[in-house]
Amino acid sequence: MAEEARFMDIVEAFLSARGDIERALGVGPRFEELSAAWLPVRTDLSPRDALERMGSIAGIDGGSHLVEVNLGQSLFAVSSTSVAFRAGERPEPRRVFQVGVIDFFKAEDRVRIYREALEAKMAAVLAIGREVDYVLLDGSLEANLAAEPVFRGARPGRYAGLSEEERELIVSAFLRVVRNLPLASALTVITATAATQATLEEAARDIVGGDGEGEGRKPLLAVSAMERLEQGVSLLALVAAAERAGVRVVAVAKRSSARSHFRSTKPDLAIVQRYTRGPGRTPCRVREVEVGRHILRAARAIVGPGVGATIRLTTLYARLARSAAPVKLEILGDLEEDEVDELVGNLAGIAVLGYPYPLRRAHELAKITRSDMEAGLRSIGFVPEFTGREALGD
Amino acid sequence: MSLREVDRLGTVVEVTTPSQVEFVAEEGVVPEIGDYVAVVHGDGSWILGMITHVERGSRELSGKSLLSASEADRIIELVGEPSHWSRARVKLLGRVVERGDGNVGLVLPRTPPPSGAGVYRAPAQALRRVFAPRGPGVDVGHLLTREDVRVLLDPNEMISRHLAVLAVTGAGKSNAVAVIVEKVLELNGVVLLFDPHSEYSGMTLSPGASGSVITVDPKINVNSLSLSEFSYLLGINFEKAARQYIYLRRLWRASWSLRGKDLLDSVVREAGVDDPEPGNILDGMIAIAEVVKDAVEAGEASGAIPLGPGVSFAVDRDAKNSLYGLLSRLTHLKETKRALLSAAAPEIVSLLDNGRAVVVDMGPLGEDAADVLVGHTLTTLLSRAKQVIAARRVGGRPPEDAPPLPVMVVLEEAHILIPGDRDTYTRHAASRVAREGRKFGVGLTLVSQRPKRLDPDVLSQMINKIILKVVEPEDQAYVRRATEFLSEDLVGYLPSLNVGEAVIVGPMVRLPAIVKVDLFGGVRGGESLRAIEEWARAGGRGPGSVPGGYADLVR
Repeated sequence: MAEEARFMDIVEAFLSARGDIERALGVGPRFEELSAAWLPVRTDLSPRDALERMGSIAGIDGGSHLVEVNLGQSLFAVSSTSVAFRAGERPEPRRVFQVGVIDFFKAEDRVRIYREALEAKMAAVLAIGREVDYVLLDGSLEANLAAEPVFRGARPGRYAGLSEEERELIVSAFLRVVRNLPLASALTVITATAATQATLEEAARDIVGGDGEGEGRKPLLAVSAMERLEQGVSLLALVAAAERAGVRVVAVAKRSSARSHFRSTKPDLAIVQRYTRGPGRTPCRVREVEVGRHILRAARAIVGPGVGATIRLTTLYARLARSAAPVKLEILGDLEEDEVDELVGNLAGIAVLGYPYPLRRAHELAKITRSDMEAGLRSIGFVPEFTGREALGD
Repeated sequence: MSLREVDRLGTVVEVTTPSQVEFVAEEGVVPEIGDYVAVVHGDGSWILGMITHVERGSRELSGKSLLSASEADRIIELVGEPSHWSRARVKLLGRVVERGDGNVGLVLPRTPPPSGAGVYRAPAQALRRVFAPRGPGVDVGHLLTREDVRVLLDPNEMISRHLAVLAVTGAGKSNAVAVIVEKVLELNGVVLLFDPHSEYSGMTLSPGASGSVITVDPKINVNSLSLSEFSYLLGINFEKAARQYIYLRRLWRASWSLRGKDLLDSVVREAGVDDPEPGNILDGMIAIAEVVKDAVEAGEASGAIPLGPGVSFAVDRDAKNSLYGLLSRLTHLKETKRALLSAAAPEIVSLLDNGRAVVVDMGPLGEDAADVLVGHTLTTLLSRAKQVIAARRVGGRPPEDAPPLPVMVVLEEAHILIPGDRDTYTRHAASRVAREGRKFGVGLTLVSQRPKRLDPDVLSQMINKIILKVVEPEDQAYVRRATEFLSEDLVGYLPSLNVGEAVIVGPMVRLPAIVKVDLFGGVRGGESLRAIEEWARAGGRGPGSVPGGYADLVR
């Protein structure tokens, strides 16, 4: 007999699923040995002492915002900020913005890629100029170097994915378009500029067509793939510049969902949070991260043939202050345990609320709010057109 | 009055309205609440405004996640001196325009100032023209944020629209009152000050100040009390005790008849009234009641009881209880108000004079006696002021005992005698003065530390207000409701006023002002006792010494 349809309360559903939810959110008992392997971290350094030991350090973060201005189109703004700290000196902030128009298609993902590309470019500028000894990035290097999400993210039911042949053609087209542009050195996301977008779209249409049912978005998918290439190339340019200049690059992720460290179905950070107490760190693990094939091809063409197919990263999880949330640290290069101890102790010294302050400050300065966007729009006398959301009172 | 670049405070940011703007401050500038600013609006034109709210912050130390000082200290160690920003809200008051009489007026703009407009410290010259208009005024102090701008109260508005001085104890109310009284005397004004706590007893003015102060004992000429005042004092209400009221009226009339025929004192003497005073109407009423009571007890009470040639008292058969009750009340009144009621006392109103402050020291009186004194004096003053004005209207001469007008009447601790939760004689009288005083030259100044306990109707008619520090939220809300010129921002500022700092609102100032009231240069009488000095000065009886007869109580 079929279940009777009725008018259900959501609280009722939560109550009946309570046990399942608790089990699903738990991390299980098998990582208890982690607490035994939790290594001490030096936390007695004052911020000034830590800065003196490090020399100079810059935090880099970005911001982004999208405003719907027209049916099918949004205005975007991305920013990248670096704040360099040196002992006894006032922090030196730098900030760049880039704004433009973007199609709705994967707009949020694409703007995130613009932002990350701009962050990588800002870091590369600091590294190329040897302006600081340490560069702190927000997020994960591994995720950005290894993954090619837009290439793999096509959903066949809605629009066609890209074939291997098309991908190769896209890389070639990308290289043609940016051939004479300062992609690795300018503080601009080249593929996001209006002029380049038009060229990229034309090139994409030549490669993937786009006239069939549901095919209209395929050229945009190809364009977004080229944007992703710029982000990857920018990161590899940073890696190359940092290695040449001896600048230590550290990526700090506070919300990583990576599961590779403990090979669990639960995120690594959740496991660390559950099974460790107080300041400390896990033993580090050195990993060779394979660079995505298409990104590597583009990077070798733009940055130089010496760009390696793998990037060596020293990864670990650490809590930099009592009661703070743990963070994932990815350090470019192969570090010994004592070097890691020195670095993590220094990071704890410049941390506020368990998070390196240069990154916090960069985050504060990079934020782009809706009112920032509105002020910018008003400055050019722009009145948003009909967006379709007026009917909802927005 | 042009603006100087060195006086630039900041830049207007949105959203602006014709009555309010917000601005962000220049680097290193921290705007002050209560300061006056000029907001640029059009070429060479600006609008005067007052800063009503200021926020200050640091870019590096923002964020609610910073919950411990040590974390903030770490940031300071990393960044050095943190940056500062300030943002202020400005209530726009109007464009300063010339009027025909040589003074200036204020006209609110019809359009909001543009975002990006410059904000400057208002030119002192313009503020002087606003706050110290030409002609005499009551100079009470200077703008809190501008020592070079004096604030003059318009005495015409102060008297005709009444005044309330409100603040917690110790905030400077009495000093402010003393300053105002002195300045009013300098203008040859007339002041009557009711002083429940003997704070002004023996007050002397600042050296060189013109005018005089006399302190008088609290007395009412009992013969000046009306029948209705007697009934109020005796607690006899016509509605509730009609028979007693009727007999009271007969006694009062008979007493006056006997006095008119010079028979009062002999009747009083024959009746054996205790401690009689010649010509005292109250004594006469008691004597007549005694005589009538004796006649009623002797069974002679039928019709009119003769009291003297041509004077009799009509009494009914069943008058006994009413008469007993009335006699009891009259006797009680005489016993309890002996110090207050005298046939020889001069009318306080008769002591008023130009250039003189009459301080009525009510310290020795209980609350009910003070109520009678103030209520009676206010009623008398208003009544005589009406006679004066009526005579002036027909071109006649004012009565002999007419007070000089207008009069500024100050009532300290007004919440005691004009409470909101019960009826008092003073409340009734003050209510009439508040309503009618404007036309007849009687201005009230109520001084209170508990505004919420004041009668709201009376307080709301004190259109001018000098509000010093007010802490209690209920008092603040009460003041806000009773004050049409007071913005929420200014109310919020009241708890943070220092001693002697006051918000002044009402038609006696052209604009709401936060003022540093001058320190009174004379001597007020009853300053608070200073415990340490008093104890140090006192000798004491010596160790172990107790008054005789109490030794057994000491362990």
